[in-house]
Amino acid sequence: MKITGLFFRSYTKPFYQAHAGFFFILLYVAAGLLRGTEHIFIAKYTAKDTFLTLIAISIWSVYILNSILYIRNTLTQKAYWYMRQLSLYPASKQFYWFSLMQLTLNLPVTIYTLFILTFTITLNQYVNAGLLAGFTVLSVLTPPFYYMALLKKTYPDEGASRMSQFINKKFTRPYPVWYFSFLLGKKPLLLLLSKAVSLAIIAASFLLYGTDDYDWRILGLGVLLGFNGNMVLMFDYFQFERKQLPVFRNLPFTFFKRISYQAIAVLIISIPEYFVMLKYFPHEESVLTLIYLMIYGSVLTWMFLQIMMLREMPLDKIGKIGFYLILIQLLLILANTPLLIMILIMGIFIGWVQLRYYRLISN
Amino acid sequence: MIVIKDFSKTYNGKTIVAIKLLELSTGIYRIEGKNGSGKSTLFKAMSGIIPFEGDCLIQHISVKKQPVAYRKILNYCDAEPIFPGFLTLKDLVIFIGGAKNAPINQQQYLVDHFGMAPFINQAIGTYSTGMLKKTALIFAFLGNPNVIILDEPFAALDHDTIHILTELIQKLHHSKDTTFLISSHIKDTDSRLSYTKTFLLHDTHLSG
Repeated sequence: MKITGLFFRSYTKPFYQAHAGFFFILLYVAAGLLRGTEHIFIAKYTAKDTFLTLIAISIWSVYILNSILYIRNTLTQKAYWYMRQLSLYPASKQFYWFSLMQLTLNLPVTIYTLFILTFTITLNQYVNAGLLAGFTVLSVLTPPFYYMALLKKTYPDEGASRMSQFINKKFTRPYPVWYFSFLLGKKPLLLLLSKAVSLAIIAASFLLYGTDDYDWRILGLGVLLGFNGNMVLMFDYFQFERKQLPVFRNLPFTFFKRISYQAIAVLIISIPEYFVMLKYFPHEESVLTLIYLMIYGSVLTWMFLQIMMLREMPLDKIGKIGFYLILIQLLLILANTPLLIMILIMGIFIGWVQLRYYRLISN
Repeated sequence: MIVIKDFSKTYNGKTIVAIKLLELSTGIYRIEGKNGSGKSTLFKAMSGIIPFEGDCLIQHISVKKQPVAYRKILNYCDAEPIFPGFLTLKDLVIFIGGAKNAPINQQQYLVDHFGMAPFINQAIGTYSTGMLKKTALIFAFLGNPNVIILDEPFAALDHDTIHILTELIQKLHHSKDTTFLISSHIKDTDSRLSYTKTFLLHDTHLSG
């Protein structure tokens, strides 16, 4: 097998798999919420203004930094220790392989940079064009030096710090917070991005309420689309339980125990949305509507988890099912269907799946 | 008594294990088989971790019809245990021990017995392979199971721990009539265990 193929399978493919949720949200925003004309408008505006170009570069730098940290973590994992043999190859070859790998990791950023770059050239903004071109080249050619240096170093000790031992001694993590701890520690980018999209949609719809003669439905649509962002987190939660806690399926949990564990986990994930809803909820609407909307959003999030339990599917298939579910709910909201009825229907579905939980995993 | 009937497990149309009928009374059973013969698949299916065709019953309790009751009386230790690296042994013992109705003193006894007490507050991600195995073994003995399935339990363990484990298996079998299903490749180290019967899993079939 070619070494480039080994790099692709060891780093590029796992990187995109590990960040599938992030790219799903990105696609949802870029292809679902924004239209082509809006992309062109944003690109032109960015191309014309050096300050905006620099902001775009700084945002992309976060992505590049994330990819570098991912590779660093991978390089130090036991499963990837075989990669240490790379240091036996000539430096020029190492540099070539790592550059090629970084290029594949940077691809989404590079494509968007080139898209804006075409506008800087047509608009004669050569300083901005130089900045973008320089960023593209440097973001590919500088990380390999860091990776090559890492290969030469010894691996850090894995011994636990006294501080963490002290905290672990004083506190016990209950099961419902395990996934959230994992998310915070291992996938903060996914958490940040999914929450940023959710909160922005909810806040925008709640603020829109006061601008015209809208009723609760505009709030309902905001909650529906906002909590939809949690679908990716639920997919990740399902994978976490399946891959990192296979023993869970051997544990004898009653229906109520399972329901309560999942409900608490969903509530924890929904806390940021609750805060935004409380802050921007229009006073003209009743408190009961606010409570219903909060429950509706969380039950919707919870329902996504049940769909995954019905049948294991890749994220794009779940996305398709999610799309039709959202469409149906959107029509129900527009038809002024009471929230309580929608909550009850989803609640019955959750209960039905949970009653069949062990049968679903054993059949 | 364990009854496995009309059992079959297929992956992509290829049958991995097929058992028409198998009845096992109380005992310590060894399952042998080459790498990839389907031992772990059979064990995971019996433990309710992966789906399969047919049924498996312990004391007339079916994994499919009474899934919660079944899981209370069957414990399982994976050959290559995986746990979230940020959790501690304490987090997991409390959680799994609670699910299996294991008294606190039993949890404490097992942690001490396997020499894991000094590491109980340490993140599992920092554990060695042997420590990880001991962690999974502690969970396999929690509660009051009628059947304990141990997949390659002696792999990665030091000599002393193998001795501790062997003693524990014998003790539990004699005092509580616990049935053990054990797969192992290491013949010399676990030969102190007196097996009721040894089965060979070969060509999808189990022969005794």
